[in-house]
Amino acid sequence: MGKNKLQLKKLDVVVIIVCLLAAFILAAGFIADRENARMLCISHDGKTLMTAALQDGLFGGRQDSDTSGKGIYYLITYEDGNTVIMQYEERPFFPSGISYNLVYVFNEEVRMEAADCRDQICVHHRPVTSSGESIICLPHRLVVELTGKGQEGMTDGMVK
Amino acid sequence: MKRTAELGFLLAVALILSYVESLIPLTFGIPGIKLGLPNLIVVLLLYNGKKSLTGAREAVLVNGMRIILSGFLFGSLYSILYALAGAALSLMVMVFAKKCSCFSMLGVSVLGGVFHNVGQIIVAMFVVETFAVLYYLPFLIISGVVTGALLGLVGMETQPYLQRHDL
Repeated sequence: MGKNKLQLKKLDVVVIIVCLLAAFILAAGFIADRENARMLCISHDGKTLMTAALQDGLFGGRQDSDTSGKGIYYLITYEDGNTVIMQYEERPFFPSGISYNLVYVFNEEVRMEAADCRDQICVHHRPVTSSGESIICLPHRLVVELTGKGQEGMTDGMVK
Repeated sequence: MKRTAELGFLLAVALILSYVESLIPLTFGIPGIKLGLPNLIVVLLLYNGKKSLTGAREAVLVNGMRIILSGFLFGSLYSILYALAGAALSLMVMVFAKKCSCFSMLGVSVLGGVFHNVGQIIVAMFVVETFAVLYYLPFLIISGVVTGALLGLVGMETQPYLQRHDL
């Protein structure tokens, strides 16, 4: 150990406390805003590719609360600036030579099942469930977002 | 000439730290969280300039080279873009924080860690054209504080040895 003791200054502590406070206030704001997700929105490069509402039964296993039911796959492929999104009931085969992201929606959870992006951060992302949460694949500039905005007159508060 | 060799040496150390960092799988399910080990070199450079601003200039030089080299070695063009944005903002903040001399190395390092993440979020917001990335901000601020404080402590312990050998 060096002979000089830790020479902290008052402002060091102030900065740490201010930063942590800011983080907690922001987090509290996001959590207070949180509600059950009602819409799934997938967009690429800022352009919306697809939105799906919950009551369409698009959230696999949610309508019948049947966890053994199958989920839904969305395969997004990028070919020469042509972005295509397809919906599957079964896990699709990946196209060869074309970049892709595979989103899986099942049992009130949305996750990135697979992608051929370089960093694989989106694949390791924990599944998202509530509004405001999103999974972002930066290399492919793909955003999978959950929002609370749904249509009126839908069933509220699912109970298991 | 001697300084050039020293800076090359520090650049090599920073590159090794980048490599070590790329080996540590830190996935908390939140993208962008990392240790920021190379920032240790940046902070030490800031505090070891021969004149008042040489430290900042050398830090910019070494860190810029480090990001470009490590980007090509262990990352991609996009990771270079994010790292440059984060590094630019964090270096600016650290230079000012150091100049007003009301912080110790720990405070400077914490500010650098936090603003590195803020800069990356701003670039990500432009790249994917969504505010959804802001959701990660609280987590990234906390991680910036923790890693910045740890690196600041390491830097404060290292500093006397560096000065003794006039590096």
